[in-house]
Formats: sequence, structure tokens, C-alpha cells
Amino acid sequence: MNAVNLNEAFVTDLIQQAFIYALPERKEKMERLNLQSTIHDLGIQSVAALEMAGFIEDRLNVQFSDDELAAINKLEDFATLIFKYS
Amino acid sequence: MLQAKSASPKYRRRERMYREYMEFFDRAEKTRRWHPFNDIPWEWMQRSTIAEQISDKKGLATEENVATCLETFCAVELFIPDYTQNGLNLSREIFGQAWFHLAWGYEESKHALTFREYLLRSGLRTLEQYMDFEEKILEKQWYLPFQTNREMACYGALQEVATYLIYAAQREKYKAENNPVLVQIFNLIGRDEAAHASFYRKFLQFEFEEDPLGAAEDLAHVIANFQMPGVELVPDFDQRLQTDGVGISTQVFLQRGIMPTLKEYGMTRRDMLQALHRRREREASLKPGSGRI
Repeated sequence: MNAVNLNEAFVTDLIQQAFIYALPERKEKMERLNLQSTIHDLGIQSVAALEMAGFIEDRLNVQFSDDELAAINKLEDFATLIFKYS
Repeated sequence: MLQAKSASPKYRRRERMYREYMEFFDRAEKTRRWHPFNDIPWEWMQRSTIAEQISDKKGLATEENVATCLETFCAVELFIPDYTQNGLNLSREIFGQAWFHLAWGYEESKHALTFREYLLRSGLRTLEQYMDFEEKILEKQWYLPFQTNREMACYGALQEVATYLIYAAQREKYKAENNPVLVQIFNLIGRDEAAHASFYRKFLQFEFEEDPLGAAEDLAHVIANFQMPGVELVPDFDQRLQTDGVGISTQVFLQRGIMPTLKEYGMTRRDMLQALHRRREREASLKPGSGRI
């Protein structure tokens, strides 16, 4: 497995963990999670999105900007921030 | 203005709310009073080209999505008697706050009048259609989504800013479409909403001064459980949200509603989450069977 795939797998796994942390009652939706899923489709409201961000920030010891967070529409956008700030 | 002679919290609250209300009232009387019939250029709709569009049901002024937006906004405003009644029940002993609710009700009532007027004058809805819609809407009743005065102030601050953002977007849309009637409608109504949001924020400022931890927990709780009134009140609201302009996205609400509100009280998003977790932990510990006496 090359480095790029490992990073993508790590990032996807991290986002899934963040989703479960923020929305444990929707754990069953994780089966259908992919990076193209929108936060709207997944029922991720404002606070849940912030909780996901906080979870990821704590794991990676980074701090996302509020403006970039507010612009998140898809899970892919979380991935973009993770790659950018790591 | 009289200065507070007593240090009691109740006296401070009443005196502060009186001052805030008088400032709100004074500014409204001097700069914001408007008449739904005299201050909107309804004559534009009688211009031959527009009248023809209305008659033929063509043109941007009469598109069905305009009707969906205005009808939805009107529907939410139709519950003003419920909003005012419930707000007064919470605040009746605090003059400034109770009188604000009365003034708020008056100002909001003009919004419903104006939306209805456009729906009818544009031909988007007949009087019979509108009356049927109104009757259906009023089968429901609005109840407080949160139980304390402070929580409802948090709710008011967020709900008014969300409404302002929706109306500001509408105003820009109709500027681009050269519809001066709707531009002026959303200009006047949006200005009212901004003033309402400002009053709620000032009310909350007082709450944060008196009890910063409690106010932070309430604000976090309301943010976590916030939804616009239309969700519970307006039929087919989820479907209506598919129409561009009826609502705002989570991203816009987060960036231009929640974040600025938190910043107003010196809170970061992490502070908000910590306050939310504190409250949830405390509520969980108080539940029967939690082991806590």
C-alpha cells in the first residue's frame, strides 16, 4: 500500500470517527459514508459539524479557521482541511 | 433615566431592560416606522409591462418560487399572536422586555400584511387561495421551544438573525431582477429584523454580565437544539425549503449567525461546545436513576 492510499484511508477513518463522536445515534449511517456525502444529506447540523471539527483538531493537534469550517459542505471538505493543516 | 438604586438582580434587570427598550423604541420611532401601503412602490405593479406579466402569469415578478417564498414567510408571521402571548407570559414582570414584545408584535404584524399584499396584487394567489392557506396554517399553534426567559432570548437572537439573513438574500435577488417592490419590502422588513436581533443581543449581554457560565450553557443548548419556527408550523416545510430563498444553508447560519453571536459574548466555538457538554452532563446527573440524590 503506497503512502497516498494510507493517508486517504487514515483521513477517511478519522472523519468516520469524528462522525460517530458527534452523532453516536446515527452510527448506522456510517456504512454509507463517503467523502462525497454532504453534511445536509447526513443530517449534520451546525453543532455536530463543530463537534466533528473539534474531534479532528484534538486528534491532529491543529486548529481550523472558523471561516473554513463554516464553508464545509461535504465530508471531502473536512478531508481537504485535514490535509491542509497537517 | 433613573439609575438603579438597588443592587438586587431583579431591580438591575428591570432597570436595564427599561433602558434598552427605550433606546429601541426611540430609534424605531425616529428611523424605522413605515407604512405597508405608503412606503412601498406598489404603483410599479400597475405599469403596463408588469400588469401584463401579472395578467399573463409570466415574468420574474410572478414566478411560483416567489409565491412559495412569500407564502412561507407570511405563514411564519401569522403566528405572531402566539409568539407575543408566550413572550409576554415569560416577561410580563419586566417592563422593558414585555413592552419590547408588544412593539415586536406590532412590527412583525406589518410583515405579514405586506407579504399578503404582494401575493394578492401580483396575482400569485387569489384571495380565496390565500384565505384557505391562512385557515390551514392557523390550525396549528406555536408553543415555546425553550422554557426560560434567558433561553428564549438566546433563541430570539438566533432566530432574528437567521430571518434577517434570509430577507437580505431575498433583497439582493430582487435587486438583480429589477423588482423594486420586493426590494423595498425586504429592505424595510429586513431592517426591522436586524433591530429585533440587536435587542435580543443586548438582553443577552445583560444575562452574560449577570451569570456568564449559565448564559453560555443556555446559548449552547439553544444552538444545539435550534430550528426555525416554520419547521413545526408550516405544512410541507421540508419541500418548501427546496425553493431557493426560503431558508439559508447550515454553512451560512454557522458563519453569519452562530459564530458572530458567540463572538459577541467572547465565546469561541470550543467554549460553546464545553458549555454544552457541561449542561448535558449536569442534566444527565439529575435524571432519575442517575444515582444522584
